[in-house]
Amino acid sequence: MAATHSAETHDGLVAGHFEDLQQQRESATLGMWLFLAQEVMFFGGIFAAYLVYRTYYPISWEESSLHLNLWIGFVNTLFLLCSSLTMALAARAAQIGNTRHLVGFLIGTIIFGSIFLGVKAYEYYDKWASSLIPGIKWDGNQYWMSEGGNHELFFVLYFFASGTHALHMVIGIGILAWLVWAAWRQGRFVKGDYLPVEFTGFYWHFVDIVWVFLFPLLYLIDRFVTVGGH
Amino acid sequence: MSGHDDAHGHVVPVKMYVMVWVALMVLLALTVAASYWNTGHIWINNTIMLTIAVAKTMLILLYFMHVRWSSKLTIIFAASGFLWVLFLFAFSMGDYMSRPELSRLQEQVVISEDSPHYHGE
Repeated sequence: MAATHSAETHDGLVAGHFEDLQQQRESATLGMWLFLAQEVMFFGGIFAAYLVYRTYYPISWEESSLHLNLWIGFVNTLFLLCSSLTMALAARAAQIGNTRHLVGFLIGTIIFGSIFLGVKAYEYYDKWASSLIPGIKWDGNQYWMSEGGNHELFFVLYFFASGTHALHMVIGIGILAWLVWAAWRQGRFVKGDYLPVEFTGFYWHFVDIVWVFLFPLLYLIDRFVTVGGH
Repeated sequence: MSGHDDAHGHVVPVKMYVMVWVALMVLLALTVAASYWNTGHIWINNTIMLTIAVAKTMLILLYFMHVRWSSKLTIIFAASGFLWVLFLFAFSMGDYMSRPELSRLQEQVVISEDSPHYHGE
């Protein structure tokens, strides 16, 4: 196959232990998905804890959820979905070999991701001001008659889930910054060697998927009681 | 996996990415709207929100993460993580949901041992 495409010169792209570019990319893609499967199970543990405790303490969950700001969560989800679009377009720009678009879309992704983290930081500050940080600054009794500390448990999971998610985004933004630097200064990723951009995209989209579940599970429980009663 | 993709991989049209993004925006609006809808049963609301979340996930996986154009082996790898998480949920819930019932049964045994009739006539 490589011979028929010699005009497109894959020389230097294919490592010695691979038959051709196709096989090399397939192997790399499988490796990336194996990493992502591990990530799915990593976050799966947090979701399993959520599932068990929400089943045990449904009332605490519903009441605690109402103390998260739905519209902040909504706007953040919106920014994150936009960042996934720019990320997908960045990977496409790398595929078709357009460095200018690649760098532009990567920076766009960094900006959307940073807005998300900024809003998240504001939310955390707001929880601090409202004394809703479990174990550090907690005064839930001003909102709820104490129900065996189960509201606190909701916020433990809220901080663990959203915190782990935010940490993944910080790492993602770091990798994106490196991609921008390597694409701009070294002219990389646009000569058939686009897989680093593609796989950073996979990682970014995966972190997006985690949020797609966290947003309804944390923010959207029992919202209808505020409009129409139970 | 056709041969002519070799140099660039499978290039997805910009229009398709934008349409997926629009669909994601619509689903996001839907999930927020649905959360305010009093269906009378919270499990109906939960089913709606999780169905929408799964739909969004499928769009992201299939189009943004190119699973739609991947080899069958890649699809198996991609599905395996989600499948194992479902096992985790199923067995965790099987354990935790049966615990109250188990302790209830154990209490019954203890009561019957303490009862005056236990040691027989």
